[in-house]
Amino acid sequence: MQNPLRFLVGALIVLVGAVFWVSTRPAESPVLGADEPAEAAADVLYSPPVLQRFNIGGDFVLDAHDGSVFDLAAHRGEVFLLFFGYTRCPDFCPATLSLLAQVSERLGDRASGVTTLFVSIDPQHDGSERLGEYLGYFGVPAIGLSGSVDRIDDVVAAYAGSYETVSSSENGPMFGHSTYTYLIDRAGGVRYTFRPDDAPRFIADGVNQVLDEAVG
Amino acid sequence: MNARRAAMIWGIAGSIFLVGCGDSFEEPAADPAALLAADVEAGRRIYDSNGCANCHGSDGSGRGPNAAYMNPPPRDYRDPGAYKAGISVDAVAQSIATGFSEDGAAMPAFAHLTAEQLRQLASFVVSLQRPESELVEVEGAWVAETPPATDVTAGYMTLVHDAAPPDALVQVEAKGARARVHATRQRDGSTSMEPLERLELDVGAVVELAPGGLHLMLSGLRSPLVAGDFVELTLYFESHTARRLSVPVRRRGADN
Repeated sequence: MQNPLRFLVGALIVLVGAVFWVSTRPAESPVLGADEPAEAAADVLYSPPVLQRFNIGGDFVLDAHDGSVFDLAAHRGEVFLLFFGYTRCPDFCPATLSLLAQVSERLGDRASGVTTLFVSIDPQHDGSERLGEYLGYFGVPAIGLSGSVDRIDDVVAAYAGSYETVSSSENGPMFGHSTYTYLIDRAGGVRYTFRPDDAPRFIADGVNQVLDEAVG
Repeated sequence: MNARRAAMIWGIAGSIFLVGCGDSFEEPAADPAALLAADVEAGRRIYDSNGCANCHGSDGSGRGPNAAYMNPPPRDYRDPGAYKAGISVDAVAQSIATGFSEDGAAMPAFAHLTAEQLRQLASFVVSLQRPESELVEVEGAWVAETPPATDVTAGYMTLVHDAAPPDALVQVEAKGARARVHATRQRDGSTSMEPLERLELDVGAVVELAPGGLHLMLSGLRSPLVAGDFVELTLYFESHTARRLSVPVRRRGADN
């Protein structure tokens, strides 16, 4: 009786050992291109965004930084990247605008086909002149949007966004806020919500897909 | 003309050499840890009752209420490199007794204090010193150029602390701006930002301050920061040490 038990225990140990060995040995790495090993390694895991249709978003009317009225409904056929921010934002907003500048670079000739909509959640501070000056710095085609707090809040709610005041200094409030960048297609619909850590290439691929779609 | 220029260059070179010599005299390093607590406490009372904080500030930073009207302003005595005439208790006691009046300095002589009081007061001043940390390394520090029309930006760096004992970053000061470490939390597509009172540096810690996450917020900038500028930052640690950094300003982009 003892011998078969001993055999079973021994077999179990061998089996566990084998499973451990298989699961922990390094996966066979693909042969990497000599010039850009990082890009090649990323290729293995990369897949472009799969566009969807979200039931958030919709048309809105806000004040553009150039003094005109921006009515999304009047811009059918155009493609936008929208996000909520404010010019005194220390980190996320300038980082996102810098990311979108890299997206622009990747888009090349098509960069002018997409416009960034920067919706200010700090309309008291972000006047039209300030917004224009701020956005001009980043080298992306962009429109700064502002309006009464009520109108801003309506847009934030429609896009399922959020913001809150986290602290105040003598120079104005600091906010916590939504960090999605919404891809808006030619029909005015939200097709993807990008995250701040998405790669420029990933965002550019999403924009290109929307630009490829037929007008109307 | 050429001879005159040459003479001038030699003159400047000579004075640089002299200044260099003057700074390199051997001075026993102050050791704040070796001070007697009773001396420091007695010294604190003398510091308060003699109005030292009016100019030097209660922390020795040189930012007392009168400092704004002084030229030159009082020096930051948390920085051992800022002392004019030595950082030891004896040297500081001597400076307090005689004062400084050259080059517009307005430090009076506190001749009424006894030798014992001077020693206690100097002990308190030395206790304010924050020598350079030898345990916390700061790597890849940079500050983002400010976009126009804003007085706010962020600084980024990696803090490496691989020696015992554990430490913590408890305060950051920037020249020309308010500085504060902020934790950014990403949750359900929303970022919330909260000021951190202390940033733990455990043994073996590698803490990264990077875009979209933990960052150093610089606000109330008196003038815009342009790529190529440097920002003077001082990181203060719980271990009564500091790191004084000159951090380059860079434009945000693909490289960072």
